Amino acid sequence: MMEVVDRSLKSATEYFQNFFSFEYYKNGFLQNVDARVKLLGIVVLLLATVSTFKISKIFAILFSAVVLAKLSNVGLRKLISRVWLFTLFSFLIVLPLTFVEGWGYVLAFTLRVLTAITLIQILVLTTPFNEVLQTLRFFKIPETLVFALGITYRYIYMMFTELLRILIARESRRLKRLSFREIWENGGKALGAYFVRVFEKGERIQMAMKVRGDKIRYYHRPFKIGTSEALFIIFTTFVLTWWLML
Amino acid sequence: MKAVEAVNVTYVYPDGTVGIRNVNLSVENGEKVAIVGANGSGKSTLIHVLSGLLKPTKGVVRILGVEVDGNFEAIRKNIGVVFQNPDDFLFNPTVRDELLYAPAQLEIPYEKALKIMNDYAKIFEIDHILDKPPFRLSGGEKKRVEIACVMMLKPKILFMDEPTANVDGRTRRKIIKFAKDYEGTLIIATHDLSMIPDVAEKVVVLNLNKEVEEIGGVELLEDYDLLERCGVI
Amino acid sequence: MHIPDGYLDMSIAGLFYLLTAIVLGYSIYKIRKEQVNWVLVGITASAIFAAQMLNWPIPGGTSAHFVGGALAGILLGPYAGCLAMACVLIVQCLVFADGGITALGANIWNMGIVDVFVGYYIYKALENRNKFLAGFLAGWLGITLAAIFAGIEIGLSSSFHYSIAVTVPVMGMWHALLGIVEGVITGSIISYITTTRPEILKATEEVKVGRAVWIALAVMIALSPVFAYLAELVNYSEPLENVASALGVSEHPIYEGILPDYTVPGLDPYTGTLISGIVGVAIVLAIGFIIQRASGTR
Repeated sequence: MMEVVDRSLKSATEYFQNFFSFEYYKNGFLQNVDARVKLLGIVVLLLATVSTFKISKIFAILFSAVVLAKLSNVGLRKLISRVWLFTLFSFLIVLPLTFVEGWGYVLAFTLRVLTAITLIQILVLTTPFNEVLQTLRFFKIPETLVFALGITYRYIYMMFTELLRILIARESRRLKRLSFREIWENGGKALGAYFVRVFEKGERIQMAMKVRGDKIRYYHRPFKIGTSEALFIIFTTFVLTWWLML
Repeated sequence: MKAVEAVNVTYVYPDGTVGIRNVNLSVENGEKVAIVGANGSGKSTLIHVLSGLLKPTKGVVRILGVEVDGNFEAIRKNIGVVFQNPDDFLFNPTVRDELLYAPAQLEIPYEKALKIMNDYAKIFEIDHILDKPPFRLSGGEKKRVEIACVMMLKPKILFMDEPTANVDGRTRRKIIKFAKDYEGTLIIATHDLSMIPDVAEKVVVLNLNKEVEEIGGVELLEDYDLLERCGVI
Repeated sequence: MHIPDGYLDMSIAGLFYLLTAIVLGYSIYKIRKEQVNWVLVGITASAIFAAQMLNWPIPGGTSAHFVGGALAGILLGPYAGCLAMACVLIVQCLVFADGGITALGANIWNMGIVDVFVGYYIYKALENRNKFLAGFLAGWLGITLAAIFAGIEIGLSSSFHYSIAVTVPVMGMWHALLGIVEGVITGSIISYITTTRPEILKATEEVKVGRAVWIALAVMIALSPVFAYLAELVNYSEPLENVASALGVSEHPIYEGILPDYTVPGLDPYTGTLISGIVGVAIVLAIGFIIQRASGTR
């Protein structure tokens, strides 16, 4: 199970660097745009991307995504490091079709995926999750879901460290090589112990929330429609018009 | 061949927090070392890394001359780790199963394992709870079961992470006596300064920057400036 | 199994957003009515999230990941389990950019609804026989059906030029294999919990097999003609017939791959039927056990 611990730590590292990455980009264009406007704008651009196979149109969106990234101090290298994997994966999946249909579809498909992922990344990298939650609430997503999402987000790292501790303790008691099936079974038992603990923790947290007041109200950045929002809307409209004309 | 050797070891957690930084440490066979430091100074991380449970991000750890890496099962039976929280460690249906878990894996003959189990059950005064499930035990009982489990294979090197935290006076005395009588290499991380002179000869002080500030004998415990600087007192 | 943006047609994505919204909305309604605390749901969701980060080694050198939908259903019951998985998937999408935004509806449908509900009902049906087996089949079948739905969504989308005759078998069979890991882990978790703290499992509570079960059954039955239709699609291979004649390959019921290391399965009509057969059997099994359970609790 050391492999489980080892490999999981490696992939967890990538995950958690994502987790805190919005802190890396404190000041830039998109960071200052109201989250509601931003989300709507990105979704509209996303829809524009995935409703066409015309490479020029897709490229227009991709180009504007990169512009937005630049304006928001999102480094190009960082962006590429986050989008290349799925893009490559998608490219390889459809690659065999070049024999059947030539390169047009394959390139367009890959570009679509790349553009869509880039759009989501710039949204994610410039919007703290709290603002995402406020936005969801604004758009009338039920309280229960939004509150549960908040808890999920807040406890991820802690839950992961708890799990790690259990796995490390188990690993310290492993004295022989395990078969694949034994690894899965032992892992399952460790996860069982983990979920029992999670449940107990959940009960305690529930109690604590009752004491602290379980109506989730936060001081949050007030919604606003100002200059940044206007600029963003103008930019998006411009891109869409360009897209329509291509 | 040293028991445990750390050369320029750094460990960074997945979220980027540094666990320990540039640690150079070597422990001879039979030596008994206490690691002290403030909360968050890296004591637990150091224990995990020195015992081979976490691979250092930078640097090298060698246990009994073998570098910490994949094929570790052979070394494992020579190492015992007593974790701070016994709940992380105990997972079998009964205490008896817990104690027999390690010998069963190594296919040690049942009668032999049983004998060792009965001996330790008496020493740690847990023979009356052998059939209880671990999660129903008191804190002190859990701790004693944990230590007994670790001792079943009579490891050459024993790591203990804050063994006297959250235990009552009686259990604490038992643990101190056990650590004193243990004949092997002992590395113990603790806040409980008063027990250190009874148990260890060498003291490692970690500072608030997750590095080793000083390594010396138990006289370091009287260097109040050092200890205050490092948040120990 | 997260579908990125760009793979699904807007019509399919929209349809599944709608279906998911309905089921998720109903789940939230049930949770509020039964006063299940959302804190527990959120905590379980974050725990499942953490568990999903583990890399389980599999033969071949790569690793598989635990999804946990069936587990969520067994731990919390199907409605709270659905909400928990939705939380996991939404956080993955909007914090880690894992899975597309337009595809979120479909992803929640697959991993948060199909996996959860199938897992829950399979477990309920089998829990009195053997806990590990019940958990194993819940996990395994949940994942496999979730993957088949993903295959259906991608296959039906004209954006993705592989037909459903390819995507369903590929997704289905690949995840039927990977699902073994999910099954073993789920089974082990459940057998551990039931031996130590069985009261934690919501699924062990007495549940009157009510309307919801029949609704679920009705949905599955309604979809089975779709599966049957899809099997027919396998025989429709016009574009590839063109390729076949272009390459000078004779018309052959069993069509080998174009490329040596990447076969294009599913053009084989037998495989298509096989897949719909597996799905059909799964439906029959589920119906059978649920009926058995229903007559047991009445």
